[in-house]
Formats: sequence, C-alpha cells, structure tokens
Amino acid sequence: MKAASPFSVNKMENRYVDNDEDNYSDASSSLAPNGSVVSTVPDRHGFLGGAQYLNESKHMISANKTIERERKWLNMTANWDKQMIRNFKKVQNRCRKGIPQSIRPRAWLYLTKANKLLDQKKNFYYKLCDQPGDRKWIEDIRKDLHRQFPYHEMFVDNDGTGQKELFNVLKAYTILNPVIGYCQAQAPIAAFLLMHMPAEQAFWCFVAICDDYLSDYYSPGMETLIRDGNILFALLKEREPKIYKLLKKQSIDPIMYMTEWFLCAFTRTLPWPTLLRFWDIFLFDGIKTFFKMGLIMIKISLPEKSYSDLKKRFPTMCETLEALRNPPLHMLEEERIIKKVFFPPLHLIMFY
Amino acid sequence: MANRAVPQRPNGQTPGKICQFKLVLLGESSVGKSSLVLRFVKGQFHEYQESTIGAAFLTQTIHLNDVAVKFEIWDTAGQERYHSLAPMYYRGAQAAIVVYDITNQDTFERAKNWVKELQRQATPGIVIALAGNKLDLNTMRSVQTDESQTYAYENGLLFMETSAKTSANVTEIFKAIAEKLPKNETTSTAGQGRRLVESEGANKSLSSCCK
Repeated sequence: MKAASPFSVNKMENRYVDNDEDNYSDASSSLAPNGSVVSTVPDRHGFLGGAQYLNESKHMISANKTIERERKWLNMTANWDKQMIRNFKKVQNRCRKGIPQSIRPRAWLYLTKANKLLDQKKNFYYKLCDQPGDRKWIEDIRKDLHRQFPYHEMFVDNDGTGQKELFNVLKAYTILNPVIGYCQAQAPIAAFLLMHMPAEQAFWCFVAICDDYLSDYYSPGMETLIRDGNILFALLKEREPKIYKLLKKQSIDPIMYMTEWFLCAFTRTLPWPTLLRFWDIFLFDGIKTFFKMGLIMIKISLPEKSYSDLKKRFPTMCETLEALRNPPLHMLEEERIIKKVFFPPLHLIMFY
Repeated sequence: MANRAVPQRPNGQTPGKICQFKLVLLGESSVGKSSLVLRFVKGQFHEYQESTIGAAFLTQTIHLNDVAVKFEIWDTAGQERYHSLAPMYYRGAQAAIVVYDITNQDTFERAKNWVKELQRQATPGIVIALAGNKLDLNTMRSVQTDESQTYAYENGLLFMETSAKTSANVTEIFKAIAEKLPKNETTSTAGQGRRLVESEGANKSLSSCCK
C-alpha cells in the first residue's frame, strides 16, 4: 500500500492544476495509510481524504428551500438582539433544522456573541498576533500544527496559510488567557472554526467557546471534565440502566471514553455533515447538547436487547472500550441522528 | 475472540495459554507514543498522526512459545495538562513503556520524571521499558545511547531505541516486556489491573493472569 502523506497529496494537486494529464490520471486518488481514499479534489467540506472524506452528500436540501432559509437567516441576523428576545423559540428551531452553509459563519458569530467581541475589540486580535507569547506555549502549539485535520485542504501544507492561522489563533489565546494557556484539545476546535470563517472572526468565536461555552474545560486539573463525566454517567444510570450496569461492573470510568468527545466538542468524532448540524444546535443550546450526544454515542456503540445479551457481546472491558471508541459511523448520519438526539428534552437543572 | 472460555486445568497448564496484561505508554507530547502503538498493533505509520486527546485504547496479542500474551494498551496524551488523568491509566498496569525522542533532551528528562512517578505510585513490580524513539533521525540525535542505557540499568528498566517509522525494535520492545512479565504466578499483586478473563461458571477464585 502506498503511504501517501497529505503533503504528497498536495503535490499531486499542484500537478493537476498544471494540467499535466498523465500525472493526474495516475494520481486522481490513492490510498491513505488508514485505508481511506486520498483524492486530488476536495469534497464539499474541503477534505482530500481521511475519516472525514465524503464521496457525495446523501442528504441534499432543495435549492428553493435553501434560498428561503438563507433569506430567513439574513433577516434574523439583521435584527439579532430583538429576535433573540422576541423569537427565541423560532431561532432555536431554525438552528435545529440546520443553518444554511452560506450563512453558517455569520450565524455562528452571532450565536456565540463573538460579533460583539469583534466590534468591541477591533484589531485587538492583530495586536495579540504581533506579541511574542510564552515560549512554553509556543513550543506546545508548534508540535501540534501539522496534526490537526491533516487531510483537509486548508491544513495539508506544512507552513501553509491554514497552519499559520491556526498558530496565530492559538498563540493569541494564550496571551489573552494565560491561566488556560494552551491545551491540545483546543487545536481541533480552532482548526474547525478556521475552516468556516476568517481568522479574526474564528479567534473571537474560539474565545467565546473556550471561555463561555466550555469554561474551565481546559484548565490544569481537568476537574470540570471529570465532573461532567460523572454527570454523563449519572444520566446513563437513569436513561440506560443496563449499559450503566455493564460499565460499572467493568470499572470503565467515563473519562476513558468521553474525554475526546467533550474536550474537542465532537469535532474528531462525528461524520462531518452531522458535526455541522450538531454545532448549529450546540451553539444555541450550549453544553447540554454534549450530554445528549454523549448518551447517543454510548447507546449506539453498545446496543442492547437485555443485560445478558450485552454481557455476552461485551464480555470484558476490552470489547466494551473498543466498541465505545469506535462508534458505528453509519448510525451517526445526519438525518438519522439529529431529530432523535435533540427533541426529547434533557433536564440538567439538577446538576447545574 | 480466541481467548474466551479456555477451560482451566487444575495445574494451570493449558495448551495455548492466554495471559492478559495492562500496559500504559507515557512520555512527553509528540515523542511518538501513538505511532509506536500504531506500528505495533496495525503495522502502519502515519507521518501526520493526530495528537492524542485523553488516551487511546488498543489491544494486541503476541505469541511467546505456547503462550499468547494479550496487551491492553493505554496510549496516553503527553501534554502536561492531562497529567492529573494519568494515574487512572497507570493504576493497576503491569507494564509501562516510557517514551522519549532521541533528538530532544527535554523529552528524556520528562521520561525520567515518569519513571520516578511510576516507581513511586504505580503497581509494585511493574515492568517498565524505556524507549528512545525516532531512531530514524539518528543524525539529529541529542540523547546518547550510553546515557540512556546507564540510566535504564541503574533503574532496572528495559531499554531499546526504536523507530515507529522504520519499525526498528517496535515488536522487540513489546516482546521483551512480555518475556519479563510473570506468566505463572498464583498470587496477584496487581489488584484490579490483573483482570481475569471471565467465563461463565468459571472458577471464581482464580488469581492468576492465565487461563
């Protein structure tokens, strides 16, 4: 098997751009080390390969419907504060239906209130970029730049614009919030935002997510994450007592499977179209969506008819953990999951 | 899986015996822990390995004579930020591989700290191996083999220089650990870490790792 690095993919693409037909026909696709196809042409989300690559989108909304939704969203964002007070439920419903791709960057900016930070602190981001930053954080960030979505066209190039912007956003945050500094789990979130909006907007969105939505998630000690793991486990006890019993019996701590889900806001876990829809809802509803998605992930990874059936299929910690860490992706497809996940209410009031 | 429901014989000598061990990988970020595991478990190498968040879990079985040794591998995240989660992963582990990058002296110092922590807080008798990874970058070396060898000898560690990229010494280090791990003892010192392979109606008083 050919070990294609993302870098070589990029070179192949350049050949394509040069119109070198011979090379192109050879290199239109190859196999990535993980067995997935590496394409010369990115999919509609910018992926050339890897787990996120989609050959085609199964779920397409009609053009008319998209235009109608875009119009509604433009009207809403033109009058955002008023809409959020008067039509709170309507905005929520529209997030749940999915924000049109063209409007998403703008909508996410408004949902996170990053648009206000952007207005209040004009050009502050660029001032942060010009500062040298703490050497320790810089070193940590540099180690991770080429390791975020390496099959995405934006991050495929070492020292390309994508990696440079990622460095700037992460470094600027360490200067703005030196107590948190840099946690590795922040990098996929910053990269994910950069795929959707210009660096300055992505930065303020990132700040809102780290300091508001996921406050204390990245602090040394990780107490908030541990607490939320325990909350997830308590919810599991209530919702899925058989699975709870199995996990308890096998001494599987929530930290062992939910850390990446929660710390990376599912950016490394969900199929891309599902992830985008999930974020539309997360940015409106907040952290409780993590618990809902977490429960779904556990449930689809460990499907059960009865406790004895569960015990037979997942006899030891090994089988159970392998299942939890490799959820069946076809069960997480956009249309299958979104409604199921978000309409039954989840009351977290007793925990928060 | 083949390890299920192998009947236990009174003398503990079963043909095709299976032993199961918990192994944890520790070391500074970006020294190649996940790459070593990926090479060992799947025989692959990714130039652009995603950073590990929290920890990854994988299993792999190797055969030593007539014994199948199954490793439950916890590949932990290297960043200092996750340090508070580390005890959860090394608790009850019978083996550990502490990894450093031969081109980076700081990572060797960090490896020494992990060894100290394991010797102080992990399961008594834990088998620790020190792996100097990125041997393929030998020309950029900053940690000398002698230095690590001496340190390993003084601390009773297994030691090898490895390359996940070329696969040099990768299987070998796991094999060396498997050879050093006790496979016939009757009392468990590892507590919860030495987990028995459960089988319906099996002898519950078993305390050996083997079935």
